[in-house]
Amino acid sequence: MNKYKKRRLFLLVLSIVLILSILIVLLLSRKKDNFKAQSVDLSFFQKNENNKVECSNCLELGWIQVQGTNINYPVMNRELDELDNETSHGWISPYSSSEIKNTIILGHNVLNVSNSPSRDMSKLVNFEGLMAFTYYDFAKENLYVSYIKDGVENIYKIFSAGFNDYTDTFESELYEENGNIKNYIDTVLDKSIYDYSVDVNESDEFITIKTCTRYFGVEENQEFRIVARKVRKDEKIETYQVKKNKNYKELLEK
Amino acid sequence: MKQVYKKVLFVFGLLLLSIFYSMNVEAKTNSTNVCLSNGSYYTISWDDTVSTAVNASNINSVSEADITSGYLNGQIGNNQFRIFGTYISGGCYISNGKILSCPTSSESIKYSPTNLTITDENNKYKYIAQEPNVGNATYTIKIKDVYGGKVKIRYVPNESNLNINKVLSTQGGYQFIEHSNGYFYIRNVSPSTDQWVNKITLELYVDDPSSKCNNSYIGGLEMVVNQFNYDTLVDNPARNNNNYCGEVNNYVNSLLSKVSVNKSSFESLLKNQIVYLCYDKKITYRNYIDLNNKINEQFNNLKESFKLSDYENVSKGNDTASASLYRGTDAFCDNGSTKVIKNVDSYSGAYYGYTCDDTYETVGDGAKLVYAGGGFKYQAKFKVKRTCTIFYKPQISTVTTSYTIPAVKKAPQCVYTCETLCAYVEDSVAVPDTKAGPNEEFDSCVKTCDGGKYSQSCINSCYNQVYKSNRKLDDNTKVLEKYSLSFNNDKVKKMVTIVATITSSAGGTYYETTKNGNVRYMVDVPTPHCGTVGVIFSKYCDTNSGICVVYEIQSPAGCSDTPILEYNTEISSVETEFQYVAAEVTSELNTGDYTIRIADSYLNNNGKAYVYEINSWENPEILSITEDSSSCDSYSTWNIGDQGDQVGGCRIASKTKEVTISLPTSYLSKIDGTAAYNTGTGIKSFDTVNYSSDRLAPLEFNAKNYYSGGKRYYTNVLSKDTNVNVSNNGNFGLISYGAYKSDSNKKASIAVSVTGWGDGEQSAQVDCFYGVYNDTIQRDGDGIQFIFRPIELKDVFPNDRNPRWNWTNDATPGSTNVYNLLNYKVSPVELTEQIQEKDKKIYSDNGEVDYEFTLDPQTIKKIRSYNKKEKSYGKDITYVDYDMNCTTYNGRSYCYSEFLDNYLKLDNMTNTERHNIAVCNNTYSGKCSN
Repeated sequence: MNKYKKRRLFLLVLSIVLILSILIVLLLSRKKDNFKAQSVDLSFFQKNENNKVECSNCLELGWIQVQGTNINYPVMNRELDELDNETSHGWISPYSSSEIKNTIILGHNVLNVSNSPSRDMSKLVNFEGLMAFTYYDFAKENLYVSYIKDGVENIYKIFSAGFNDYTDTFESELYEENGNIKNYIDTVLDKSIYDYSVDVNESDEFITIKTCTRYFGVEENQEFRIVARKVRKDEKIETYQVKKNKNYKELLEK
Repeated sequence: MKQVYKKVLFVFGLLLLSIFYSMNVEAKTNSTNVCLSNGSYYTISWDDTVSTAVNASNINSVSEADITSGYLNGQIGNNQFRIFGTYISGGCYISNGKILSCPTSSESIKYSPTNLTITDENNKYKYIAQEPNVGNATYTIKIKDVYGGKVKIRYVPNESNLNINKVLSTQGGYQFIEHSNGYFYIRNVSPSTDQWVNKITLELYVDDPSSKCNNSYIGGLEMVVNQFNYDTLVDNPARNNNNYCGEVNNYVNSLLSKVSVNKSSFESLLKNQIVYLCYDKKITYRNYIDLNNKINEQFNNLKESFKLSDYENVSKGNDTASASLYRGTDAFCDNGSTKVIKNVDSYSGAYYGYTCDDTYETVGDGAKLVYAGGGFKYQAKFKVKRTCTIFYKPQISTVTTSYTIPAVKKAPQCVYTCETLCAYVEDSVAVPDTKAGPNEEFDSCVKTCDGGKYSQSCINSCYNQVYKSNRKLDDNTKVLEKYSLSFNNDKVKKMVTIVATITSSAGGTYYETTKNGNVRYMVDVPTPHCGTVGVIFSKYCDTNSGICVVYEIQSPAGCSDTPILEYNTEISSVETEFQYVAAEVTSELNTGDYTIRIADSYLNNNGKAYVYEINSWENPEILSITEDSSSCDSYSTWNIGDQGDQVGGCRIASKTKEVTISLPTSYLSKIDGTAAYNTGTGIKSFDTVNYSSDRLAPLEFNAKNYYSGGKRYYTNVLSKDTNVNVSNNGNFGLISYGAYKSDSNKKASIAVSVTGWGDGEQSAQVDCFYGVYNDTIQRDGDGIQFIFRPIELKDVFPNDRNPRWNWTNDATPGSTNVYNLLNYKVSPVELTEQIQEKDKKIYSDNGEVDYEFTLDPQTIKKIRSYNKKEKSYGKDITYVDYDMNCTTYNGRSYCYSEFLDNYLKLDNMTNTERHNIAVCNNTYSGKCSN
């Protein structure tokens, strides 16, 4: 075998090795994309009994907890004046309707309104922690919401997280007045910065959690919200896939 | 005859033929429904005899305008058409070769207008709401889209008056109405009223591009617009609108400019109760629909209740008004009186005022005979009535109104609350309950801090400044915002009083340690009204320039710490002022100068009136002085306080003083016939014929001397055509009184003017006395009339009757005039006395009787006959003629009436007797003694 042939053989083997390496990498990466759901332990949903809100002319209607956040507060029938940790709370939006089974809960965010929101939950009060869902790694790890009402706890799966112009007609109102649940679902999915692998249809019950932000400045009139649907009967509580979508990319570009 | 029958049959036959023909034509008319390719649906009729049969394909190319115009007559291709088309609403489509009308049967059900008319348990439309707009008193009709967005709606204005010239007619027209958020909206719809029912017809159309019947008419629905509740409050378009309330505003402002006490209450009364339709933000719909008329009603009520002229006195302030001289209307001695009212004093205090007016009255009296031939005297009354009226200013002068404004209002008791404001706290956070973010102050702060970039450091800083938590999400901000002047101004201006400032926790007691380790202390701060207030101040603030202020808020507005004391004090002030005003009025009624000065303008000297003054009540010319005591004509009780306090007293008091005075007595000069006056003060003044010098000649007065009147006589001021206009050359003419009044030369008159009368320096003029020239006693026509009347001999001039000229002059004979009398003197005074003394005895003295006659029936008959004949003589003059028969005797001419001879049979009298009777006033026994 002459020197020329040896060189050709070496290049051939090298090419094969390279091709095989690429194939292995592709196979491995493909394997990684094959999301496998894992069961979720909801034991972290422990109601903070110390967080008692005392107020006049107000009524505690329920208790809201959002996985991974500081949001572990009572839900009142109205907004309270106080903003400190001791009186952190959410309140039921006047646009909520039991008829259409969409509970809208608002909570204050004053200190965590920048476009680089804090996710240090130890410093956050009220619904300031909701802004952590603007981070993808946080969002994909925290998927569930607990809402206790009338002594009954229901678990909801988050299927939308995104910004919304609060000067627009509230979707909830549209939802109610049009009687078109699908319209609401389409809207919140369209505005979500992630694609959640959650099946949603018009027969589901929903919970919407909203707070204010100045993520885009005060002029943009934006609020941030997550929307979740109630875990269906016999549906497993497990992880599900969350992907960034074009809205998220646009968000980064801004 | 047969020919006639044939003609009739022929005509009848023609008639039958024409009927058959027409039936035949009718029978040949066909029609069919045609669905054009564009979905238009028509019923087409044609006449087989003149037109090709119609189907959709052979008329598709025909203009719909031609079809809908109802007539097409012409050739299309090889076809000859003559058709008539009727449009079928809704349109059509073709399915399996069949023509079907739109909308489809399923659409008709699904999109039926009746779906909107479903009612709830209260029998109200479930999907149609009429929402009132209080801004312009209209409705917004809100219709829920129950058709899933597959239907569009338009409305057709009907012929209701409410659609004419209203927004409704032009707003939508025939356009499809607004559709948003799942609702259809018709805005600014005029409501129905009692007089008009506003109906709107809705037309529904398919709005589904996927439907074969898209845009097809589905059906209509008529709905009645609600009436507005008459008590509903709507925005007031008249407020601040001069088109409605320009006049009202001006009037109210004028009223307000004239009051100074309790102005705010008065303003409130006017604007909130009287003409509130011009000032209220909201008014009832009842007023809204008739706003102009209602405003006019209120305006008229305002003008009636509060007349601008009634407020003039109120604005005079505290100064006494000075009365100006005022010349009243002239009076005459003979008749009537004149009145002049003049303000002499005014006062306007804080709560009470008064005004005093003098009413001057001049009453003339008729001229009285002094002596026959001697002249006249006159009397006049000068009466002053001073009336003082007290007015209560908060009740607005003397205005009689049902609106009472108490002068004093008890203020509410002040209530104090103390609050603490720290540089880093804010009492409340105003966040709309549909938003959960920072407030506007926070955003403003951030904008100031970093231009609105919302850096975390600025967020932290502003959070601590605007909200009350000492928090931060990073460690970039270590300094608490300092207490700043601007901050201070913004917050403190709302306070009543800052009672303490705390800048340190020193001296405080431990309060708590917060979760972040900040130790907080309670600092006790004493306050004037709230006791001790605890202020929480932290050690953190000690090192970060923290500051807290404690302030008091006083409420309600206009309150007092001592309302009862203040109320009672002011009530006392009102009462004190009333007492003062009442005392002033009493004083005013008891003061006043009533000195009377009398000036005779006739007897002027070098252009100045002769004046003498009556300055003593002892003067004999003052006949009487009466002065009544002041009296109260009207009492009032004023509500001076809102706690029921009242002040009562005399509102109108008056006092009258009356002086009756004898004006100058006139006599006649025996020398030249000029007039003399006895002023009562020893001064006698004379008229003069020498106008150039205006000479005044003194004369000792003696009533027994008879002054010759010469060519003049004196008479009543109002005697017709006896006033004389005298010129410098001695010519004169008799003129009417009216002409006399307008004549600048009034030298024949004596006008007595009175000045210095009362406080108001009132003056008046009384025209009393006239000297009138007349150099001839003969006048034609309506010349001087002799007045004769039966008299009682013992009282020749009863009731001070004025003697006429012949009783005031000597008879002066003339040489040429046959009517002149003999030149012998008649003393009217003595003659009058003699007549009165003799009385009826004169008839028994044959020497006094000039002639006598007996009236028998025959004589009476003759006299009556004579009178009948003479009735037409001298126009309407009866019994008087001048059938004098004149003759000359003893160098003197005399005349006698033939009546005496002809009717009374006196023809046996001698000429001497006749002469003596005619020319001698004092004939005795037929002889004149001269």
